[in-house]
Amino acid sequence: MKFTEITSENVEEFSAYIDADTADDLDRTFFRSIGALGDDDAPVGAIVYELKNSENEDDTKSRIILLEGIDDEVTEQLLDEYKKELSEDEVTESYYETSNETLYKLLSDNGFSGEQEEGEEISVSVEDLRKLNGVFKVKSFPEYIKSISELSTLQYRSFIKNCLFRGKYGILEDLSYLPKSWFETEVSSCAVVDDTVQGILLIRKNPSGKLIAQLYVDIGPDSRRNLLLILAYSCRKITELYPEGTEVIVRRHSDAVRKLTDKLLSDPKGDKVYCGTRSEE
Amino acid sequence: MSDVGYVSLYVNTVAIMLCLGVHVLVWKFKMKDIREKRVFLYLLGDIVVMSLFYILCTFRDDGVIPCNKLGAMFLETGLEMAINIFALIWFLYVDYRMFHSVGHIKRNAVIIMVPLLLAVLMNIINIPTKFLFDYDMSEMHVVETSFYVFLDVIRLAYFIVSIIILVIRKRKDERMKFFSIGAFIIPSVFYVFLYYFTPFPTVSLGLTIAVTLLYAEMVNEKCYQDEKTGFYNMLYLDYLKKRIAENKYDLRSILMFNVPESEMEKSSPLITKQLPEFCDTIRCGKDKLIILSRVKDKGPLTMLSEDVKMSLEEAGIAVESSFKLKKKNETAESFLEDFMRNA
Repeated sequence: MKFTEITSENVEEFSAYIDADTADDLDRTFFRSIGALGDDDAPVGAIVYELKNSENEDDTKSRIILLEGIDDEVTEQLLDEYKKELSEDEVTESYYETSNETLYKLLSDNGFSGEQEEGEEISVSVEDLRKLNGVFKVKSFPEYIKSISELSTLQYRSFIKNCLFRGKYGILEDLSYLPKSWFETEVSSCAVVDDTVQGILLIRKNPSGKLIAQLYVDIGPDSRRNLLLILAYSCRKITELYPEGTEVIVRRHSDAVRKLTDKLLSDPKGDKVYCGTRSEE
Repeated sequence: MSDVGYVSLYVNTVAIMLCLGVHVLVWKFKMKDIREKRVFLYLLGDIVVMSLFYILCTFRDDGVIPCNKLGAMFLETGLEMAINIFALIWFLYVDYRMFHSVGHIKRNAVIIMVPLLLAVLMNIINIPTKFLFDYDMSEMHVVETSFYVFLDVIRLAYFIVSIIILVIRKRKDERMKFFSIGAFIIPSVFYVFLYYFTPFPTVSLGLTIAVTLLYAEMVNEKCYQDEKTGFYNMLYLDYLKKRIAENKYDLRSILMFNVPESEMEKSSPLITKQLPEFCDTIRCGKDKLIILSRVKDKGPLTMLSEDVKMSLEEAGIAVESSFKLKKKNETAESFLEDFMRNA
């Protein structure tokens, strides 16, 4: 079996194994992908993973996002190849989160721990957001709350730098490498005071049409008020621009996000998923 | 004149002289932020007015200046208004110094200004109604009603809240290190203890000491600044080294720019525009700037480096940059030492 690096140039060949949303991320700075090729050079499997802390002094970790193969032998060989690649990046630990029981069993057979728990991601419908519009009770938004489409590049980059230098990344390891256009600029909102961005809610639209919240932060003196207003603004925009069936994904990666979703949504629950880790040292 | 009168006269004359002296110094001081300078001058001006009213009230009480009831009430009302207006300008100054945001002040204008504007209104209504205080012409002193305490509570609340928000802000914002709590506590101490527990009106002196302390802090901060560029200088780097040695400064990365000496002054506003908060920029040589930060990833440093380079290159200024991240087992002290040795 041969292995090859999968990039945006050859990802189409692996479309049987890599879905459109995952394929869309392959160009991102910390995403890696290895494809397995059978004897006739036809794709037979793929693994996609994201490195964490690879550019700083902390231990580098790898999050396995996808592992698919034509059979168990392929997936096991992919895992072996993956392990070799990890040593080059000095990865100390791998981890995963999946709802796929077969994958969970395969990873468990290959040294990963595993247990079932509630997943970080929750899905919110446009209908839920319409109800939230009622909860927020914002009749009209002040002038300083706007879509990020109205921001200049300087304003956007200045704010992102301020966030990064304060250690605020949201769920984006590569926030410093992502341009404003990577986000859905009409539904992503911000608070601009004294010509400076103070707060932002960045939302990305995947090829499958899902909207995913990426960064939600305000660093100004009126952060509480601004956070509420920018959230209300984005919710209003989504309900105006997107059809009923649109899914909005929120990854509850921190306690603060969990508390917010618990407060705003009735009984938000993530799907049951399998999670596990493996030491790579 | 009574002994209390003489003490009051001396105390308030000293307050006026000190204030006028600080006024001149601030006027000549090269402050980057014109708004901040203007508000500071209003503060000083109000203290002078307040002190003058104190002196006139003292003369009134001791019979030095002949006064009818209306005149007596006018003098007392003028004094009260000067104190109210000082408390308001003080709070606006504090808010601006902390957040540098006119937008923030505008949006919170109601919360900030209404209580004191209410106090000013109460003073005006008091002239015909006397519901706060009255002037006893036979005893020649002010007689306060039980409602007067509300006025005191409002004014004191402004000083105390300014202390609280400063304490909270100081913990979060490294830039507040040149802004001591002492200057905030002094007016409250003078107001509460000396004003209430002694017969001597010392409010204006307390406020004068506070603004003088603030001015001294501004001058102190300026000592750490490079005169031509406004960035910090090597004295500040020594200060940071002490803080690093005491584990009070979490240094994780250093970014360096080499800018031709002849272009340094021209490039400083362009660089400042690109700089994020929470990092310290030091001119450590004729053509070298270093930025010390807590950032531990390459991405933000690359972003900052690119933005500064692009901004300077657009202005036709050539610049070189490099950065270094602290290694895991390296101390911040040795990291900085090594960097400066090789720079």
